[in-house]
Amino acid sequence: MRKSSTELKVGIFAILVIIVLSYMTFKIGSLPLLWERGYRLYVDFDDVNGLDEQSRIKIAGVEVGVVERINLEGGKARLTLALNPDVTVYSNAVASLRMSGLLGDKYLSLLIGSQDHPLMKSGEIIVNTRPAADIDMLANQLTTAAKHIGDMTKNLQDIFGQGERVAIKEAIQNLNTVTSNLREISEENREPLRNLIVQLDSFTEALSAKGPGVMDDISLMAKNLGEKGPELMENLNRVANELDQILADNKTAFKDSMENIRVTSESTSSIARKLDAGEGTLGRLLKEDELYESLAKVSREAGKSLDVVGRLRTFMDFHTEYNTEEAEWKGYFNLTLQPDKDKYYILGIVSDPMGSVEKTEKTTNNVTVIEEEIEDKIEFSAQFARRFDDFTLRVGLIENTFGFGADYFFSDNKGRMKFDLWDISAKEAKADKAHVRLGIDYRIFKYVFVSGGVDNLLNSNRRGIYVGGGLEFEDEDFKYLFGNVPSIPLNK
Amino acid sequence: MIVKVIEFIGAVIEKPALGMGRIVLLLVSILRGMLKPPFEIRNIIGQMLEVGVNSLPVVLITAIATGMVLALHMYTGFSRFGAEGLVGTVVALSMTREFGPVLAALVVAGRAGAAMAAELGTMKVTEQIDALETLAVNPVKYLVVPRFLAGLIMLPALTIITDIVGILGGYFVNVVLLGTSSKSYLRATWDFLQMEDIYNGMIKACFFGAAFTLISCYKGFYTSGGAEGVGRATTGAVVYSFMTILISDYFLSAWLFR
Repeated sequence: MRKSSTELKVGIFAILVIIVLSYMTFKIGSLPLLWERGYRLYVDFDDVNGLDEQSRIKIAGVEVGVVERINLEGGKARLTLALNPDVTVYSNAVASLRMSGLLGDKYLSLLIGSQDHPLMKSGEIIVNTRPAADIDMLANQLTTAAKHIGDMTKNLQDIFGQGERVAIKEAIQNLNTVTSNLREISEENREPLRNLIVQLDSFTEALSAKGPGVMDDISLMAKNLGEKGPELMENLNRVANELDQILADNKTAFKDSMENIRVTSESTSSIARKLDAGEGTLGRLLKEDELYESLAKVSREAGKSLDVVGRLRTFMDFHTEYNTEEAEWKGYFNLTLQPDKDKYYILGIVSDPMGSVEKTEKTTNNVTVIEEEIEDKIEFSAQFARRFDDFTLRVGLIENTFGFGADYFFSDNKGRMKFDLWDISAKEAKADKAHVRLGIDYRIFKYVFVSGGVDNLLNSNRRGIYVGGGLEFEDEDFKYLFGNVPSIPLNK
Repeated sequence: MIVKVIEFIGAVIEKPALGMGRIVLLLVSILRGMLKPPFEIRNIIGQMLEVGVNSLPVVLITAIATGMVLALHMYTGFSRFGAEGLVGTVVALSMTREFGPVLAALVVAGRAGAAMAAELGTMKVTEQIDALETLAVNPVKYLVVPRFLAGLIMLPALTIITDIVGILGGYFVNVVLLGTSSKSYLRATWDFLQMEDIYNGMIKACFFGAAFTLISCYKGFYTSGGAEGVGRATTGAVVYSFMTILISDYFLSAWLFR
């Protein structure tokens, strides 16, 4: 029986190998088989560089055969094309060498021609060919283009013959002389020029101060003066006389009104000054920002408070652990409140099977025996956690005693390495040192995580490995229990 | 003085020469034993199971991992100049020409070769081989020939499996993980592969199979020095097999693929 099983295994293996080998052979060898039965056409090329026997023939990108042979006929490359039997080619077909991609293989591309020409039969020669449209050709065209550019520059050179060149040179020289002359003139006459400019400047200034109409007025005036000269002078004289009379009569009244205007403007400026300095009720109201600021603060705080609730994320997790040393299950329920990315609060309830120790002294026959009874107990944790990048520090109450911890998050928060230290005064059952635990949580599905690690590192009699797992999820509604009635702190 | 130098040279050469001579003699007696009946068919099949079938899992894992890694690196390299389409070609060529035979040979030499040397070595130091001779059984024919034949036959077979699994590994990485079109990957694989690539790979594998069984059996057959000697023989068998495979691979490649 055992022998036959050996033979069976070897036999199965052999069959497997034969199947794979024939599959591969078929995959590689099957392609040419199709056109071996087909027909042969010939085509001559000047250059088939890069094309090999067994290179592909394509019509409109579809493979229809292979180049069966390449041989030299009268200085040209004669290709024997093995084509699929169901491919029809007409006598005005065009063969061209193409490349599949910039680095790809060369292949032969056929245009089958038009139906008004006779069908080609096996053994005939395709007359129309087109050379390779590839890098060689590209290089050829580039060479031609480069030659054209060369010609062009040469022509340009010819246009600017000897005569033109001399003329241009002279023109430049003339320009040079002109500018140098100008410079000499300006240098020699520097002082007079400057004076001239200064005067011009003051003149234009005066003009612009008196307004653009001055020139018009002057010309009009000159004209009118010429016309009405004597009469005007007479009138002017009379008016001046009358004015003089009026001024003399009202000298006092003018003086008084000027004084009044001065006093009014002074008191106005005093009021403004006081308002500006924040004196008086109105001034204070206007001047001090208190009201505005308190209003702004109120609205800001209200916004912030609502924002906090909106931003607050709450996570709940339930998990349980089995401790190998204690052979007990420990259960946890934690609520994590995360007001922002960098900090959160953890409130937790732990059902600890090693919770409390009851010591009873019994005295029987003068022998005192202390019995320790360990009971399970519900304990509470409340921690504040602050996150720095992938690293979190926690501090607070852990399982009813003061403690602290640190977490390191990895692989995109999926995993968490935890370190916890609590019960520093070693009040736990059978403990003489603080409770230290080191473990890893890893989220295997969206809500499910597994955990494991070493518990009670410092207490050798309680040291053990724990494994466990649980659920953790984000709760959207729970936070509104806290946040429905936001209190707005006004005085802060 | 001169005599001493010559003596020294002689001493240096003597041991390797002795070993080479023994290996050649062993090979000759294997070949002679192969031609003469009775043919130990049962024995051969048992060794084929050990060398071939039982090595399959290790070979498969090696092959698929190599194919995948190869495809990954090729993809990175080729994508830098826009030739991702050629990844399949290079993976197929390197698997069939090189990695298929060499990896299969290394894995099998490490697994089965060590076992052969240990088995024969133990038989030698416990004088079981001498006992066979006393019973007029040719130990080479009975013990070495089946192993030699199994190596010769199974390594090319394992190579075929390695080839296809490596290509599949490359296919997986490129098509499933990196998103190349399945059609164009397969085209790149099969269009440029030729039967010579596969057959030459298999010829290499035949040679490797013969070489490692020969070395392992030789090491086992000439074991001396108790349990420690068996340990030495096993180590030697694996080390020399690996060296032979890797060094001869270059010459075989140069000769077969030019």
